[in-house]
Amino acid sequence: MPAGRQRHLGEFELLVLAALFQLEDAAYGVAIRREIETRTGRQVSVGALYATLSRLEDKSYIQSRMGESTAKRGGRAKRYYKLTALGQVEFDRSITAFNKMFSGLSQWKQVPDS
Amino acid sequence: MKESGTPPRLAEAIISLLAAGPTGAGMLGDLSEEFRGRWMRSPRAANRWYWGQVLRSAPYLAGMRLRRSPLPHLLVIMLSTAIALALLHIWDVQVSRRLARLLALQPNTPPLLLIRALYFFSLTIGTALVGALLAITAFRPKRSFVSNTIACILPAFLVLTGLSYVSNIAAAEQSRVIYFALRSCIILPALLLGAHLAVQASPPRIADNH
Repeated sequence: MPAGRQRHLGEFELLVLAALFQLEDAAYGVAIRREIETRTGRQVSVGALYATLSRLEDKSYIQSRMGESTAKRGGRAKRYYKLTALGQVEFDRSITAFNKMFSGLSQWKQVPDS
Repeated sequence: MKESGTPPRLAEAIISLLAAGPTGAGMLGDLSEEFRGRWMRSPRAANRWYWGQVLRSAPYLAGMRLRRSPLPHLLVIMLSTAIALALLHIWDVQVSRRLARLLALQPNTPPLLLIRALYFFSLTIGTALVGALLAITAFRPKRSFVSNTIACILPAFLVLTGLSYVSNIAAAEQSRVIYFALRSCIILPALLLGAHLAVQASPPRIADNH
């Protein structure tokens, strides 16, 4: 694929893919939201998460399977997500790009907590 | 007092309306799971949280629903067909009707009847192909409504122009009202059939179950 035609991942898409990577086989909606909120402190709505998951699935970066249903979920099944080979390639490409950009920021100092 | 740990019915109905299928079921299950955990601590806060999720999620879900809806694609198909037919009509008046007169075919003769039969057959098949072509073009991802419409006009115009030559020969001696009525009766269902076939034949999405 020519460099100019690459589809770049958005910031939230990257966070979601990173969460899937961290959670491995346990990545379903609630777990993904908790993972992102715990690690980043960012509040994520269920709709935003599922819209992003749907978009990533359309791009074939992730795939889903239905899991078990439980009483506390009102009898509804969990939907588990995992990265596809294409998703891993795109994730790796994005991480590499970030690392290249950040590697030169030697003068950057973390802002102290107020 | 409502049954313990039951999410608000209206809020659930809104989510179901905006997110159908396995995605909606997964989302409702997630909301229900989190809601029951919060209900233990504070039922009122749990209800507030649930409604907050619905309100914050609604724009995303509406966008997702619109993106998956066939409506924009059908609009592209109908709009580009209408533009193509308008161009075709101008083309008809200027060129192909004169051609029919030049050929000077007599009404109700076997050659004309054969041509008319071929016309109806080719117009149906050809228009279905145009519908399929437009649907495939319209379903290309990462393209705007306007660019899809523009991309659809030329192929639609070219195919319909080809068909129009035959149609004008066949209908040279017919009433214009009957001529346009017959053509519309064939074109619209055939377009929808072609679009339907193209959508059915498009690459499958990621399966819900593995």
